[in-house]
Amino acid sequence: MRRTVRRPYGFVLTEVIVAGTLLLLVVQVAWWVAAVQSVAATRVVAGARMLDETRLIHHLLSTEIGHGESGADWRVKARELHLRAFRGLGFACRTQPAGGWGVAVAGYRRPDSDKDSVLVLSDDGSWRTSSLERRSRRRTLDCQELDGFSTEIWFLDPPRPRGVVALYFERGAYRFSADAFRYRVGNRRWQPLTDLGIAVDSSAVVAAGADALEVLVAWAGVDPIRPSTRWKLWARR
Amino acid sequence: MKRAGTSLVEVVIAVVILGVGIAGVASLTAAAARTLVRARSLDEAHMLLQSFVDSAVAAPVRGPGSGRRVHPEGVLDWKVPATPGSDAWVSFEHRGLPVPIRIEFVVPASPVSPRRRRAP
Repeated sequence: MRRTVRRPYGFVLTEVIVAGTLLLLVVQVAWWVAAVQSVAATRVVAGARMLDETRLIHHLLSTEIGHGESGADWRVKARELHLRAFRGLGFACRTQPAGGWGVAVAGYRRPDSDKDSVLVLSDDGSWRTSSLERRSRRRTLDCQELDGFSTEIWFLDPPRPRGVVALYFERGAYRFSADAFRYRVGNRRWQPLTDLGIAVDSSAVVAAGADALEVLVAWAGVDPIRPSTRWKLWARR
Repeated sequence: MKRAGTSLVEVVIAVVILGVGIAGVASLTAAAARTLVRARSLDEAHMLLQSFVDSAVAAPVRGPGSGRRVHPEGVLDWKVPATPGSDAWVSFEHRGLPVPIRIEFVVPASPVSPRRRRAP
């Protein structure tokens, strides 16, 4: 005689079906949530990068314009900002060497006689430009000690013996082109300062009145998180 | 007799734990998005306030020297007396920020004026 015996181990078929259905549901939901999260996280990261680079453009142009004077130091021509890009300054030393001009110098970078010129403020209140022919370090010169400044001898053409303060600068230009914000020194190649992704047709640097500059930065794409920012900059000197 | 294997209750618990994890990740992403929006609001406020202060320094004040202007991003209030050396302020209430940002500064003794310099 055969007897029916219940299995002590294993699953009931109903349990397997319910568990399997739940598992599939969970996997499906998790997959969908992961995809949505991925898209959202990508947008957040891209938005943060765009904000960061817009901030960089604002800081750069604000610094460059703030150190200059419209017309004399910067001007907008054909959607390009051409300027004297000031990179540092020098104060005349109290004693001067027999040759050259002794100055205490500090700046974003060291002066470079290959590409820099100098704008000199003389004791009569006038500003004049000279080219920086060459320079040399001179530690023994009697010069006022200022934190972060080093002593140098500059050889200017033409010389400025009555100079009090000098700003050294390179000639440069900024513009939006080829999907990026770019800068070039002199007539060299345009170098990108940002990643690609800027809508250059909608971005512009334009003069706004006599002393101001208006900047519009737009990013390519239709994503609502992508910023399109417009601001105005003023010469502060 | 207790059988080996996974019971329905355990599956439900696992699903709940997984759901809480997913909700946690989603909440983190949402927080990051909110932070990004707030960062953008702060940037806009910074740009607008810096532009205002620079324009006040660059150009002499005309008229009453105080006022309010409504921008798409928020409302700008200011008081800039014409007297050099006096205290001035500007405040911007951005729609995306919980509190207005206020900057206090001193009216310069003389506005920035064109210098005797030759063009490049």
